[in-house]
Amino acid sequence: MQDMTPFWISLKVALISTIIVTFMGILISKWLYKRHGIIARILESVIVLPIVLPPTVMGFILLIVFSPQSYVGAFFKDILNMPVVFTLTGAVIASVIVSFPLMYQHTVQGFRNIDHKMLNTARTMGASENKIFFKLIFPLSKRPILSGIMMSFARAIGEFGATLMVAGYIPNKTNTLPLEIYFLVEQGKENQAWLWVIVLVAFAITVIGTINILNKDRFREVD
Amino acid sequence: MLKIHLNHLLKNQQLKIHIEDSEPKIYAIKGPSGIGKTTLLNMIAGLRKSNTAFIQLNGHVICDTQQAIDVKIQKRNIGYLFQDYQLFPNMNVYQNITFMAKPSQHIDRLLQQLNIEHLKTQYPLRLSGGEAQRVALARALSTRPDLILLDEPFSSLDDATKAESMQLVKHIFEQWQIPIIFVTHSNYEATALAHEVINIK
Repeated sequence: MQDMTPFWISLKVALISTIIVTFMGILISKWLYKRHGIIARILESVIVLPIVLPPTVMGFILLIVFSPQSYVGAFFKDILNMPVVFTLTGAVIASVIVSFPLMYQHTVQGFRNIDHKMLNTARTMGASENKIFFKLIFPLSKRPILSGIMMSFARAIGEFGATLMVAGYIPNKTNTLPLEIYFLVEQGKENQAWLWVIVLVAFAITVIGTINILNKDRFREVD
Repeated sequence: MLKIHLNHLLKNQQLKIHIEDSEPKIYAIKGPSGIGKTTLLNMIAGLRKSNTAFIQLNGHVICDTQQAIDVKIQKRNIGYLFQDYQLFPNMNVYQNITFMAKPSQHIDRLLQQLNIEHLKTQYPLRLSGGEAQRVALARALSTRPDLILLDEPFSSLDDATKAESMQLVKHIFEQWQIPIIFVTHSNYEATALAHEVINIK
């Protein structure tokens, strides 16, 4: 029986990363969806950057930022007692950084696609901005939010480059499935690699299927 | 009591409204498409700023550009019906109507008067044009507004529904004695329904 540890490590990293990304995505979208100023635009470009940059570049930047010699790295290591480089924390941070833009783009587009006139109707009725967000914008964006979560989860499961740079390949510690497959093939253990390939494919199909089923909106049915 | 003096320059076109009445009335803003009639409603509702404006509703000044008074949309207490009604698709009819109003006799009366009681649990997507409009009217009235704005309320309805809908607006006005301003490009609608026609040329 094959050692299942890489599977559990991958799942753990992807789940933690997706939870962080979901909350961050909704909060930052809520903050940015109505803003079109220069600062908002710059911030948006920075958020989306990891989509365009090669993961190794992101990994390199993260490695510099979180190295124990840097202030940020020292803060994580000494004060939070949570070293980043070559740890599971590093793998999670790498996943968060590369999957966040996907979550953000889906969510903010969802928020922006809602008809302004509908929101203005609620305003003329005296509804507060908070009520408008929680009763209208958020529920009406359920579909894009779910797609965002799905995409970020898939991206986190598949994350390779940045993870390898920041977290490295440490068996039983940071060997996520994509890393495991790479190193198995490198060692000529293709048969073992096959198993993980099949597991990942099956997993991807299950996730996409589940979310598609969850995604059906009662009020969007058209006869 | 209603007092609106509004001037706005839009695409080289001077938009002007002067309303001053102590009794509630139905007003029609009439003019060709694209001239800025909806813009005028938006300015009254507070969704858009105008060059100069003075608006007083039931003794409250809600907008006075000279005194830099500009009451927020949420506090103006104006019911606004957009052309496409903008019902909230994730809520049923009853939830739409009670979005900002607690269930009360007032709400029950509205449901009955607008003949939408049987639609309470329906979702907006299932409603016909006429039904959707009645629901939107009920929702606008749910917060007991001081003024009602209707943007092209009859233009997307078929002839039979249109006649019914015009009758209904008249009925609502008589029942609730709330001033109503509606926008139209139809001479017929303006003369048939309004006590006063404001022409925008």
